[in-house]
Amino acid sequence: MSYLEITDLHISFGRHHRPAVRGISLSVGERDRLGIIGQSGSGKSVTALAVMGLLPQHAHVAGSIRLAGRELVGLPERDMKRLRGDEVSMIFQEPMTALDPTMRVGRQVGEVVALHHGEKRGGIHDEVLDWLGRVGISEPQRIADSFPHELSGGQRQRALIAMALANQPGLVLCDEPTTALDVLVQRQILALLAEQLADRAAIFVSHDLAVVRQVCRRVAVMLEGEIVEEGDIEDVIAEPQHPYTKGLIASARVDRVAPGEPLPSVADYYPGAAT
Amino acid sequence: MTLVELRGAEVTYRRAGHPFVALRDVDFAVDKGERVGIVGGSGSGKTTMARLMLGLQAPSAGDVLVHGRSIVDLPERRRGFLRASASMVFQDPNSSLNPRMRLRDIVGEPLRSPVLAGRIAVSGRRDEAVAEALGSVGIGPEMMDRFPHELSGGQRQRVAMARALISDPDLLVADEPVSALDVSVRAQVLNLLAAEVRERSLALVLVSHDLAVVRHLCERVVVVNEGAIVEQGSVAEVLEHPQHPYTAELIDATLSL
Repeated sequence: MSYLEITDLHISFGRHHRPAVRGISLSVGERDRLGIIGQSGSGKSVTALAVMGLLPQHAHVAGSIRLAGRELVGLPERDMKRLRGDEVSMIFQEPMTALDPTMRVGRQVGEVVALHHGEKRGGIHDEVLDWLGRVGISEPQRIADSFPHELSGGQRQRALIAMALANQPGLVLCDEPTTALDVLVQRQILALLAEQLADRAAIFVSHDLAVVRQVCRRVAVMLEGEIVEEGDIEDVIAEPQHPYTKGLIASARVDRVAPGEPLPSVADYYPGAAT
Repeated sequence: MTLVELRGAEVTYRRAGHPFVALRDVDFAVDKGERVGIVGGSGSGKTTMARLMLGLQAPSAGDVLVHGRSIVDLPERRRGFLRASASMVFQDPNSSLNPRMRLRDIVGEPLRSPVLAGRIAVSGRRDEAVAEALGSVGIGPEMMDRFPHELSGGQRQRVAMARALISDPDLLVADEPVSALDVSVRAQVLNLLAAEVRERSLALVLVSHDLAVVRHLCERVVVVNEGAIVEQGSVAEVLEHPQHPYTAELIDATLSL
């Protein structure tokens, strides 16, 4: 039995049940890191939000999401709230919107730590500084005393990673955690994630296969709400089976195309791709 | 012939009460028909350089020349010619296109500038020019009355290109034109950008941290770090044999499949 087991998950929205996820099944082992690749609208982020129990009210969810044997579909919000942070947490794309702009960073990390500490508030401050240090922030005290807008993009993402990890959740969901960062900061954050996620389960959602490859050993390719291909990430890159995956890989290899020659696009391989 | 030139350009902001130097003593020039990449990390000053070239921002010290003419002290009413000489494509079409305007008005807007309005005297001709600009980026005239939210991400960025090209500029400045787009649509937008630049013999300034894209589209590259140019030269020379450690680090951090 895997740590996370998704079976025949269907998600649709609104009165007309507009489908977003069409019967996917996935499993993630206790120390397994799974990448989910897909274009916008493929259903990858919606799947992650369903695991977090963060879908909007007008979403219809059918099928099963079991986390450590416990069914999450239909779980009351009160119980889901307890799981979030403790069992499962999420790192979002844009740390500026995920952090509260009016609250000092240290207090925001402290609130997450306090959830775990329960009644005894002592030691929270030290634990906050400890976590900020563990995610590679060199002056934890100064950063703890700062507001989010006073931090660089990389520092904000590190603070968010500290918040996601502070309660040692068994599963961490990452939704495009480096898309808003430049290549140098991206490399640091990917190295940090690979190190910090090594001993837990993780799902890494992205549209960029080269990024996912830095953190995950396994990848599922989503298209129009379905998983069209899944396997060891190196195998998928070496021998993609689905035309969409082939296009994704060909179009990412800008460095292999001679200057002046047109770049291959995903639509050349799979006509239904985004435009 | 030099189109745009920065001479000893310096930009200083006040940040949290302290002066912060965004750009220090930068000399940079783009010649007619030349394709130059400006690369660097976030906060390196590369976007500030682009904004100076278009007169979207004034330097704290130094000079900006367009067609040999200083634009630094030029009053707003005499800046019209800038619109006809250079345009910009921004990173994120979701924020650079007005969500409440139809494509017809978004793409036609530059033609309201007095300098360009002279070229297109009758309003009927204006629609024609808009349709032609949209057509050149692969968007049909039946889309003219749509709003940006009715388009895909790639289509939105193509609309931003149509708006930049309708003024028939000599120079196109593109600031990370594909980094906010899905990987699956990047190639289409880049191919279109390359084709337009080639067919119109445009000069291109491509601001990016993606070295593979710069290598593909540009002949010359300028590497910026902490507000200063640390290395420059031909794309082949700089990217194959970087001299500055910062350039080497950028190359090393670039992921490929």
